[in-house]
Amino acid sequence: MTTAHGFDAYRRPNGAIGLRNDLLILSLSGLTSPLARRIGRVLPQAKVITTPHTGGVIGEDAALRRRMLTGFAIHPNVGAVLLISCQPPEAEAFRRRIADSGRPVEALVLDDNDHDSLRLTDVAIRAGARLLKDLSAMRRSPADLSDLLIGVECGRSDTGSGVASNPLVGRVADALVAAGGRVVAGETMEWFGAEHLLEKRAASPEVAQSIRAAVDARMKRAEAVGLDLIGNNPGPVNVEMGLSTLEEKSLGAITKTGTAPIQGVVQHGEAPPGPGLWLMDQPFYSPESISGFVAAGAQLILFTTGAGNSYVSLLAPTIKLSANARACAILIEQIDFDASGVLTGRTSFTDATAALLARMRDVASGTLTFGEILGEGDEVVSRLGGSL
Amino acid sequence: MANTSLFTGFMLDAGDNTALALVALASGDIVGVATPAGPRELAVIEAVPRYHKFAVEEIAKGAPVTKGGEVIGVTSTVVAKGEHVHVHNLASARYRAGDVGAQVVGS
Repeated sequence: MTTAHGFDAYRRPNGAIGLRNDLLILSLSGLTSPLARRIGRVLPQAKVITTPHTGGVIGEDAALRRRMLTGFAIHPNVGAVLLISCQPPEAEAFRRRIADSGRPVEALVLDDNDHDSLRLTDVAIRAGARLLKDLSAMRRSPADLSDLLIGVECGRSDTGSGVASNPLVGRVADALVAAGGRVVAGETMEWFGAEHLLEKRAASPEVAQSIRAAVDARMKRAEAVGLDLIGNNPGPVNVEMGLSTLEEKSLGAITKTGTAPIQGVVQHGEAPPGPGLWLMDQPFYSPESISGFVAAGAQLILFTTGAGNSYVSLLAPTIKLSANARACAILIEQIDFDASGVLTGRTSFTDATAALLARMRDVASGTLTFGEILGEGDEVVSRLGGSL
Repeated sequence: MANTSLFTGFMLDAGDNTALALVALASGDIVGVATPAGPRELAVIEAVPRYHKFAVEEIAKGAPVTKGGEVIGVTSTVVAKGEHVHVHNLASARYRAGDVGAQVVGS
């Protein structure tokens, strides 16, 4: 039963709430990715995450890989984990971390199965089946907006994104912050051109400096390879869709952060440590950006698009919004929320905000999004450098 | 004319000097524009593609162009009321093409 202000979710032992109760098949080793996918084909209810990179990942890259895989393994929407690996020490470290979170976990290591992937497949299917049965006996209980961390994302934007969908998401972000929840926005390159507005909202001068430093660092990396970010921005697709200047594009993008003060800047995949609105310094490409939010514990994603974008998170239900009436009319099995009424004056921002919050509570309580139904989701582990 | 189901223009901030065309506009079209301060009726003096901007008042050369209450650039020429506003008459106020890096021109 969904109350007016709340929804129903799975309460985890550490107090966090999950909107889904997934069995996660997590391959820690690149060598066992195909094996994990094979297990996932026999247990299609499970979610499968793999990473191709393991050996030779060093320094900050190794820390990032660990941070993201851990974030997926103990994600609030994950009820139990089947850990697949061929590195016994790492498998044991992850198994312990997951067990400490109160989740059922089975670690299946190739070395313990005579290095036989077929034998491991058999053991994994049986273990996964038992875990799925136990998960299905768990029930939801009341939760509210203060229990949520939501990620806000835009991809394949058009001008309607900047004046309707993103401002609408911004109003929901404000509502969530007012209710005591957490919101995270990222895609650092999208701040470029509007960073002066973000800096004005920083909760302290240190936070303002972090925002500026994050943008400057990416600009330097682009300069170092000779990329002309200004001449190439907005790109030809954006120009055709009516975006004239870099700041017009960025201003439209940052409206999805709402108006709340910015509490701080977290690293890619790092959990915001307190309530309020946070920025995450991270890549702008949606698969990487969204996985950063998910690894940080975001249980739900609000994802605006213009003409259409099928991609969603694998672990976090993703509400796809557009204000493009044509896209909403055609992409019935992709767009979860039609925001075009705000553009045409048919719906006020106030009414649309209430409607989107109601949809969020429905999705939180178990109503599926099209991305979940159609399997359009993935999680990816970003790289900072090359492997040895 | 300004029927709530027939708005073909949109302004996010009532003080903006541009509006967004919600449909492709032909020269001479009268546009019902939804704004936070209530509907306005404006005419375009040339074709404006869907989702592109047009000026809601005359804008001097080198003057700020506003959308959503923020400056999105400056004009590179005089822009007449009802004219299409885009890359041919609007340039970034903060950066110049060919600048590699965040060289802010003014603030």
